[in-house]
Amino acid sequence: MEENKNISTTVDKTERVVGFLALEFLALICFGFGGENGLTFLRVIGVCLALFLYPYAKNQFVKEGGVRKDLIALIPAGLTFLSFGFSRFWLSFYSASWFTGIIMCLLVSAGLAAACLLGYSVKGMKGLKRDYVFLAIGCGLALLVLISGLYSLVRYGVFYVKRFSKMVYYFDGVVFPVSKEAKILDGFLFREASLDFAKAPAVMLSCFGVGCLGCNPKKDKRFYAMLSFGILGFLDLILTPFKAGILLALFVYAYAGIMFGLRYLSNKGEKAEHRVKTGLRIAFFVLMAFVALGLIILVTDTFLGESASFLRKSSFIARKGSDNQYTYTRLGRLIETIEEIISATFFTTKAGVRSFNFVGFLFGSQATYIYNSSFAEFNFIYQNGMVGFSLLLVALFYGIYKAHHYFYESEDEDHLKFIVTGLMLAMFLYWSFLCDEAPLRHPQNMDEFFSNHQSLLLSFTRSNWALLGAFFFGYVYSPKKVAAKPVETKKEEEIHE
Amino acid sequence: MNKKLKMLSLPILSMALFSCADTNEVYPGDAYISGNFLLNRYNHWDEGLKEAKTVGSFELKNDKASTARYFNGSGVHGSYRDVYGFEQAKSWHPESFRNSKGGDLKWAPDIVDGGVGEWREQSALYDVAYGQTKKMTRINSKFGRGYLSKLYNGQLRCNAWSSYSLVELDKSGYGTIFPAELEKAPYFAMSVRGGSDTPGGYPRLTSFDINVTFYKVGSDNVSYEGTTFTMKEVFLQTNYSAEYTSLVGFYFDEIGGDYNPAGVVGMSVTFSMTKDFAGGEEKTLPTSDNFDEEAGNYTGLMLLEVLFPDSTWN
Repeated sequence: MEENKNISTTVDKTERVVGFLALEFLALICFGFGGENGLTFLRVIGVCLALFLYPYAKNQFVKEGGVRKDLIALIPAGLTFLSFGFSRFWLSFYSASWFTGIIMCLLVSAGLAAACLLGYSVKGMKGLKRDYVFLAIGCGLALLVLISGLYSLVRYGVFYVKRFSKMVYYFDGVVFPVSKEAKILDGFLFREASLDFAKAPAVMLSCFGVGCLGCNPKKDKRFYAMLSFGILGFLDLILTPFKAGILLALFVYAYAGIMFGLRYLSNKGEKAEHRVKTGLRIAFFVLMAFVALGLIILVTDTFLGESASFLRKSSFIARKGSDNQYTYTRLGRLIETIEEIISATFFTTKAGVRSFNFVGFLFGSQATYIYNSSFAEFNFIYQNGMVGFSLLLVALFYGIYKAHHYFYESEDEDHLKFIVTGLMLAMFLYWSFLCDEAPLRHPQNMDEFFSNHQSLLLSFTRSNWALLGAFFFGYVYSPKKVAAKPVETKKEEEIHE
Repeated sequence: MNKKLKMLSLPILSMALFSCADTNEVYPGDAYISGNFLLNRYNHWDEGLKEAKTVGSFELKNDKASTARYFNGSGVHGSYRDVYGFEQAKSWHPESFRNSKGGDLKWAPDIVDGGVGEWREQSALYDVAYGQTKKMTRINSKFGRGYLSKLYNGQLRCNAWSSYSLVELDKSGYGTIFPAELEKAPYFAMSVRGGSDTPGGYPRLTSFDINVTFYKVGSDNVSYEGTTFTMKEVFLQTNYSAEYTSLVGFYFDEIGGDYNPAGVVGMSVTFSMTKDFAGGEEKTLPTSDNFDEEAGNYTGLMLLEVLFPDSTWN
């Protein structure tokens, strides 16, 4: 009896230590601790943690009634992590040292898998309250936003994007628009980066406020923690001001509001619930259809080439001037960039003759030229090819499907559901529309150990955000529709017994 | 608690409102790069420099035999086609134009070019290109900020950057306080050419008397005291090619007198055009070096780089 108690105490202690390390890992990932080298180090830590957490994940999987079929369904997600790390592009990128390259690619893939496993297994840890997980994420982001936001204010002043909208400053004899940049903490150095890149943490932090919809301010003090995170995020966005980020955050709030309303409707009876679920299912398939259709149109138009392109003749995209030349609209310029990316991946041109590049089509470009569209998914096509892209799409839609089930079936508290799905949506939208993979303005001291960059390319696949995305994927994943009751509730029940 | 919070927030707020170090010197996006030659003139003088007391002056000639001499470009000034580079300075002082391995530093390429007005990391040209090896921003990174950072970034030639690459001066010149104080420097140099709005180009040779004044803080610790170095009859090409710039300057121990550059905190450049079409060309147009007076056409000094090679700064 005494022996069993000792074993149980030791297990509890181990769990607490692993849980604490997991929280540290998450907070440091969100803070972007130690820059690029720090992130590599954190990936290693993540992999070690995942090894410790594997038994918890296994228990949780069994507890949730997971079977072999569910594991098979996870294969595309696993392959997606693999394709994030390895591709022709990335192997060429590290071609100076194959050994280092393979290790780096392996670490990226393993880091993502570890973060995903971490997300799944934290649900099964008795000693780790789920609120702490999101507190760790929030604190990591808040500290980063506070430090870089304050430094930006000190260097540029308040509302600088508006006040200096058409102004430039000179650095090293070159002109830089003031309104298109902000300061970021890169390792232990401040650098100038594009607004789109620099303000991502603030947008994510501002979305923490959606958790307030699931909390009663009079009864629950956690309401104020979420509100504080949200306010800090919004303050940073407003004092800049970063219009695109504010709009995106408001969109996430609108989503949360709609989901809140739909839940209210669902509670009105089985019929209403059925209608809501059917509606959401239809919306999901319509979204899938739109994505598929959009892709088919873009790829076909690229295949046709510039002369036969039907998109370029559309008035939405290009307008014919009096000189018979087409000038692109804003949307047109975006589409032109995407088509350039697809073309550079799928085709090779030799002596003016364009030919289909089958290997490039499957596994991405071999050139290490940077295509920097504002859509992470299309940059991914160039860097990882259609195999990786197809896997990414499958993982994305599978993630949406699992997030939907998490929202409706999990027994997590409401505020957590809003935060998790809100942040997932914010991340998806942000990197689908505001992605910037060459954000550094005039980087100096690139060889500083903790702010080291091998190139100006800061790809999403190698970022801390990809790790956070993998964590969320793991968190919302459940092999069955109805998730198990939260462990802490069970613990309470056990105590009562 | 509230009082403490207010006390804490006040310095943060005041820092945010009044520091703004990166927006102290901003310009409209089209400043100095318009298609209008006259509008691109830069003639800003930092406070106190125009009022500075002159405490010394030196007159320098482009003559190797002279005790007070300056170097100018290739050293051959017969035609506008001959006027470029740094051969004269190099032949007089070859040790100043060698890299760390004893090889020759190159005049061109002078930058890693990423396209007009695009910033690129230049360290690949360190110990290869003269400009990138000797530039001010490499000696002291404080020179990297502000409009005049154009003059400290190692870009000696236009590289098709047009107005993005240079500071356009008329006879009123400019004066600036440096972000640091000079401690030691063997010589001063600048990369310059002539520039004009004469229609059809009219490539030609133009001669200028260029005054470079170095300022030190006066004994009252408030005002400045200037010493002027006049380089007489500096022959530069005008409107032949923007890439034809010349390295013009002087060694502090070849000025025909004693001058210790230690303590220099600022400098100014003014000039007067002594002769346009100085190469004896037949074409003549009435051009003026004063952009404020009415004239048919104007000729100015296009300043691309200012260097205190191998100097140390406090």
